[in-house]
Amino acid sequence: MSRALTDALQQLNQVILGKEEQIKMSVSCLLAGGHLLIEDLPGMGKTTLSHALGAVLGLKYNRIQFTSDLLPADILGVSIFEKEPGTDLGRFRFHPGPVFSQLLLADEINRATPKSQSALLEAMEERQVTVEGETRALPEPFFVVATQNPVNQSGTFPLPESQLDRFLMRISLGYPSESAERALLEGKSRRDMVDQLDPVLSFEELKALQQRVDQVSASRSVLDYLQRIIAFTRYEAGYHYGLSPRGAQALLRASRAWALVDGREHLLPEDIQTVLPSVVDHRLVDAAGGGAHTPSGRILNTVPVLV
Amino acid sequence: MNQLPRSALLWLLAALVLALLPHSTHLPWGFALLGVLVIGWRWQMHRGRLPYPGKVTKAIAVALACLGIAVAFRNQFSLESATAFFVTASLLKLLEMKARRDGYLVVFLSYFLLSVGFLFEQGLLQALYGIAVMWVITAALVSLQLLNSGQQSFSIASRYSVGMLAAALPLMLVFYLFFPRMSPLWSMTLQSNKAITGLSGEMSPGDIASLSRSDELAFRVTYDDGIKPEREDLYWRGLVLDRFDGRTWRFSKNDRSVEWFPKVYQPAPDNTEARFYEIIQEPTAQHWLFTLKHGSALERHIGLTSTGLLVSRRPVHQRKRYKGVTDPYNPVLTSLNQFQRRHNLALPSDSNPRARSWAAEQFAQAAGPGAFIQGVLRHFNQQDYYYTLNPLELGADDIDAFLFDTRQGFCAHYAGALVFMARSVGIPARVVAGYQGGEWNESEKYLTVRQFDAHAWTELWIDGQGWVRVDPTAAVAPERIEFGLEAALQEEQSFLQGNLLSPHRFRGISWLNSIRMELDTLNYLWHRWVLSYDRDRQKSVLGNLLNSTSYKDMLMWLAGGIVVLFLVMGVLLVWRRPAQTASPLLKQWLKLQQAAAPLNLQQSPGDTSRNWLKRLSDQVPELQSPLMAVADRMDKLLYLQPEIPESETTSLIKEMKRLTRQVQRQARRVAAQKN
Repeated sequence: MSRALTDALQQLNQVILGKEEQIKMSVSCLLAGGHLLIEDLPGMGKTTLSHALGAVLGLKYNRIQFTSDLLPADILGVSIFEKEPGTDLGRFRFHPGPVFSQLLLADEINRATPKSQSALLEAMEERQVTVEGETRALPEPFFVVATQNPVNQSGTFPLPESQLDRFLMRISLGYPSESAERALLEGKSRRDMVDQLDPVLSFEELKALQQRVDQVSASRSVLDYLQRIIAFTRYEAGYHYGLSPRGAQALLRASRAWALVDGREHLLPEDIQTVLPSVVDHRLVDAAGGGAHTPSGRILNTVPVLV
Repeated sequence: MNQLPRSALLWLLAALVLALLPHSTHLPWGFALLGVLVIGWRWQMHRGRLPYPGKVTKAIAVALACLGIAVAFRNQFSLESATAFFVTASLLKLLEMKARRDGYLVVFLSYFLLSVGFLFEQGLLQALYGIAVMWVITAALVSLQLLNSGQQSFSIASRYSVGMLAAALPLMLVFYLFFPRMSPLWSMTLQSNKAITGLSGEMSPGDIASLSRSDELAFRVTYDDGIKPEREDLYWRGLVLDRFDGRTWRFSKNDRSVEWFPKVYQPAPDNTEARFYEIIQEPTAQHWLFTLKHGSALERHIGLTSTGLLVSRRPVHQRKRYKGVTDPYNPVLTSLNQFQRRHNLALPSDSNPRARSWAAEQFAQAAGPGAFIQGVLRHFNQQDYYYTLNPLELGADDIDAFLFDTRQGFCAHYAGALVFMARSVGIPARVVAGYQGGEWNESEKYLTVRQFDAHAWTELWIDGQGWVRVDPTAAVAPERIEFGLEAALQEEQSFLQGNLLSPHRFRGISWLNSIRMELDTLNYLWHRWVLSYDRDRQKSVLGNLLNSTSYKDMLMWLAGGIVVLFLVMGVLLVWRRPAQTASPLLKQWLKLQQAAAPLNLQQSPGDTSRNWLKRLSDQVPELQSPLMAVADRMDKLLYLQPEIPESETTSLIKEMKRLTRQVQRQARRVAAQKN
């Protein structure tokens, strides 16, 4: 693993305490070129994590706080008529919205109306924005880290499944452990710490890491395992519908990125198993209304690794 | 894993519905309603719109259903009510069909429901339908087993089902031929309370007419020589009705003088005049059988009465196949004893005075009994008497009313009136009820007799000639005898009036008629070659085949046949076995897992090799380093390169073999220490 990557993880771990796994997962998500959805209760460090990610990865980042009166133009940008100084003439000039950034922090995405949500989600998928008939490409790279409250909280618009699919991973942070909480209480303000973070990765390094994700080798056996998982989600009773081919690709890409972050150049079944909850749980809907296992838990228990 | 596969639900519902459909003919319509309700409910559950019903809901549903059955069948225990109970239980089972286990139960219920349907109907169409439904039910069974096949599951299930049924076919034949057809060990009569259409033991004026409105099958006849018989000879004698109470003719129950086979007349082997035939009779729940004149009993458990009728020792509750003969050399009764003469002259003393006086008048003018009868027949023929299926209502003294007022009647009216008048003038006479005519099938050379061929005629005693058959209907409506009922009723248009869709109404349309005849031929062959294979038939076939009729030999053959079948199938399976699927590495891996069984390590299919080996090495720390080495090598082998190199596999397997032995030893030791 590159030294820069180790540094980045270390820095992040200093800000978000006791969440090594989730931090590795979110870094893998960004290395895999995917968007990240962090779902948790307010005050669990979602926003801190996303800010820290932007700072450490050296990305130009913007933040949008989603509210119920947010309009698509607030995200995408708007053309405003400007008068030429000294003349009576003028023209429309496009003022790019916050979406024109390398890392977009979409806070509490499920507080906005579906109309505004879909404006962002379209940008995520197309990596370009069309405003007033003109298509504008978004900067490279373009990541969205969105946070959302659990949907059963009041005043939220749950994202439909088709749009959840745009996020490569969905993770949640959870309460910190006792010792981590003590360190948090004794330590500095997290906001200040984020401001003091130095970027440890250059744009080129990030680009190179992303390319190395694609080079992580996947053997026949591990691809067989992945396909067994996909087949299981499609044909076994219990899910409304199985994973799409895009879902399958996402699973492979995320696993590769995890393997890279874990310091390997080849893929193991363990990589798939580790990223599985983050990648598939928001894509699969239990027909029977859940039960003891999450969708990924059922897969992990049922699909054989060795055949 | 024990959840019901979603793709199986449609198969299961289809199987159950199709198995239930044949029952719709004998169950009240409420059951159809219940079926629609329950299946709709289950479908909504499948779509997630409705929850599974709770315990209270289910208990209420069961109680309501039981109440419904009790009301619908008035607490009677019959085949129908038992079936209804079973059908209801099967339907309600759908509501708690959640796990795969419940799916199996529904499959077996469907199989059983389908076979219960054969208690009611055994026709060829029902059998073909049954096979089709067997296919669906078996496909449902297969679909329950399918794990990883969504869109293809339909075609896989249907293909497997065909294969399984085909494989079961030889077994079915062996069972059909050799399984002993024992009479039931229990004495409960599984008798359907559905009314059986057919002749009853008594005849009031309208009885035969109402029978003639049905097109149900009565029996089929094949002649051994295959020659089409003359219609005028086809008087199928069923019953002799010789007791009259003023309105109804009855047969004498006290006529016990039955001679049983083989103590009755048998045609000599060189007798070329005797015509042999074979009858396949539908169930009547009565003792009597049917025969032409000069008949005799040719089989065990069949007897001949003194009135020349055939009777069966047991009531005919199942389709019965028996042989008959018409033999002019069969000696006829030449004299009546005093008792018989009195019996066949008896009349209620004060009935029908007009008929009595008119008959006495005619008899006085006639030259003898023969001339008197001719005179009466001429009277029927020349005066305006009508042959009709819908005669007017008659009051008391109905023979008087019929003869002199309404002058409209069906065969029973004419036969009854003639016998009455003959008796009143001292000629012994009796009514004979049975069937007349039938439809000849030229392609398969058999005669079909249906309920509308039911007929009544008379037999009069002429000294010197014995009993002579006289059919007064022939004097009124000769078409009835020559061409059948339809021709006789052509003017009236009343043939099968209440039976609008009966195919027999459309005999005039030739293509329809030929289809009907073809279908009838198929049904006949089905009855003759498949359904009539009963206990006696089995014994005679197997007697010829095996030279033995004991159950022991039958069972030996049955067992032998099954063993041979399974051997053949086993050989075929081994021969066609697909290539070995499990890799040697996996086999060795499973052996290693087995060796560690005494340690009770938790195992799940989702375990990776490293995870499992790590847990194992926690339990047997002595082997930690070789175990972890194997974990590394397995990962390296399976996941490092795109393809698995062959040479490294062999050396790894060798290493694993060695480790397996060690693990086995250690595992036993650790397990022993724990205990």
